[in-house]
Amino acid sequence: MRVLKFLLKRLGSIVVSIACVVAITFAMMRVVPSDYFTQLELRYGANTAGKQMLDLQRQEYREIFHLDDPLWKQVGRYFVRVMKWDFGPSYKEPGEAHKITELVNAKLPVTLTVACAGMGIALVFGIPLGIFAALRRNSWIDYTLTSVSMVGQVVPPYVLAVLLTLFFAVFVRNFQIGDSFPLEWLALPSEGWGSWKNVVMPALALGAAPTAAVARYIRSSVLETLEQDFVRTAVSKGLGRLQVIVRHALRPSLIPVVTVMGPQLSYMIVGSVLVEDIFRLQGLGSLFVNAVNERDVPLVITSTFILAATVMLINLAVDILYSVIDPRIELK
Amino acid sequence: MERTADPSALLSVRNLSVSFSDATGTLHAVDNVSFDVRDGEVFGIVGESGSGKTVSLMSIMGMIESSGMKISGEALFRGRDLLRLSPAELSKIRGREIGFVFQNPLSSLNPVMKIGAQIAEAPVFHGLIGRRQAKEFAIHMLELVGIENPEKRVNDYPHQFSGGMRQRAMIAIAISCNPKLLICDEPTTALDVTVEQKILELLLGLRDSRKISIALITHDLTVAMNCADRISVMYGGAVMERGSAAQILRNPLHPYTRELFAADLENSRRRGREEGEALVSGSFLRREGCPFVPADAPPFVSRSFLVPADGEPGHEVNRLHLDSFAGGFA
Repeated sequence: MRVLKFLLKRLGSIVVSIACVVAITFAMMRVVPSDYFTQLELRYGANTAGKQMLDLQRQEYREIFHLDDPLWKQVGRYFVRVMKWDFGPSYKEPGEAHKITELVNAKLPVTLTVACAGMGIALVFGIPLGIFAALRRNSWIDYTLTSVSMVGQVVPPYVLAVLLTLFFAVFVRNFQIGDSFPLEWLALPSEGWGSWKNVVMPALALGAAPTAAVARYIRSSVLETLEQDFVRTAVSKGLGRLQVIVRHALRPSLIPVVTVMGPQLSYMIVGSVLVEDIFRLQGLGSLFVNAVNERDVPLVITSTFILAATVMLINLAVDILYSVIDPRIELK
Repeated sequence: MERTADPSALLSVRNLSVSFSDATGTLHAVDNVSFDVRDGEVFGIVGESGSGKTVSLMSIMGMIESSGMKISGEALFRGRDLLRLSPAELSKIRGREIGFVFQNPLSSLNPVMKIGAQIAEAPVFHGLIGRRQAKEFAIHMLELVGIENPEKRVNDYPHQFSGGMRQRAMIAIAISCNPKLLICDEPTTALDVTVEQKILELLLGLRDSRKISIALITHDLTVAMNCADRISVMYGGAVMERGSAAQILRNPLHPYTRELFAADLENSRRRGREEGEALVSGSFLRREGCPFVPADAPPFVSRSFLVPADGEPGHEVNRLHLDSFAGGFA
């Protein structure tokens, strides 16, 4: 019951926040100095006849998209639609037949899969590495892990993506195992969504930095927890050092990791555009970046809506995770 | 002083010295300490913070991890010298044959683990019970240490327990493998006076019902007098006086014991010996002679040693400073 109340309260505040974000985006897209048609003109150039045609189209759009309505009405109308998961048509393809919803439905899973796979890699590799470094504190293994992870943290995903492609496509293929190395792992489907193998490379590129971050946080967090009195109790039971860490020190040490990783997952979803481009994934990232360049207002607003909603839902999930990890933390 | 360990005792410690070294110098936390814990007795070690009472027991159990630690002497437990065992061998004894109760029950219990799981962990780990019996076992242990409604409480987390209940749970953990020896480090210091009495009663009851010997580390001489059969009084890493509780109560020979009785630590501070000075400052360099003698006293030629008190078998006192006090320090 208390959990239900908490969820309703948080979901309510999420709806209000998203409404604010959408309203701000609406307002900002209005004051931006150039619109969809000036962008078209800039891109393709236009003679006098062309300019007239664009102006006509602009007038047409004012009606189709109700651009002369007051802002609150536009926002309200948009919001009512969005509640039904209907983002309306884009400027590029006006008319109710082509809806942004279809684009989102096709591309959102791609982005989410890559981001979650990257986060999965970060947790699956980062946590054991961090534990291992803590276990062998101040040994050469620890120093190596710490410095390698520092490098991992500062190399941006798009650089890593290029390096990974280079390594597997050129380097590995040039050696014996190269002959059997499947190209599809390099994720180059021309259309839509390929097999799970297409996820591996982008997830690696995206997950490397968080892996390093997780390892470092787990290491320092575990070492801090090891100073606690209840760890001494665990030692007094006769448990070995590894068992003490895994059974007792790890769980309380996860709190700071969750704190850091929640926002990191949102960054990954937002930042997946860089990796999507390199691996030619049909994700949301490039759709949204193009939308901004073309001043395709409905698409831009949809992107803000989706990213804002994702970030807020992740934050909600993080808060719930806290109380799962530590029973002393109550949901309220 | 006896030179060789007493094999008839459950735990026989001889000439134990523990020092910690780092770049700033060497700290002699325990200096040439000997004691026995016999079957079925409560052995009290009394002293203020920094007197070495905790270090002397925790170091031989491998519970102190410090790169600069040096330990020498002998600690015979059921025929095996704990100081000669590998860490793996020692951890097989820890929890299984020797249980520990610590001072602050809230911080000593894992906050994110159910009480029942914490109680059953050691016996499952040491292979005494199966995983499936864990819960039933934990309920039984909670009942044994006097916690009401154990079927429900077994699923609680430590923060849902009261202070006294937490210490009872801690005791349940300590005795979960039916150990021969229970090391209680200030078990009641963090508790209310009324709760303290109940916890001590519980410990003494367990001693009788389960034939467990108890090493009781405390700064509170009254607690030691009430519970212990024999007592060692420690100061500055050395034993000042030891004997049966009755002997020490009747005839405290050492001035430090008398000071403890009078709870006169304020006085000793005024004489320049801050409580815990030895460990806190980290600069306690071993001097010749008894540590209780002020640093500006004339130096003595030999290390501290214990001599029997007249006509009282088992009652011994640190001789050196008796001489020195006779010479005008008392």
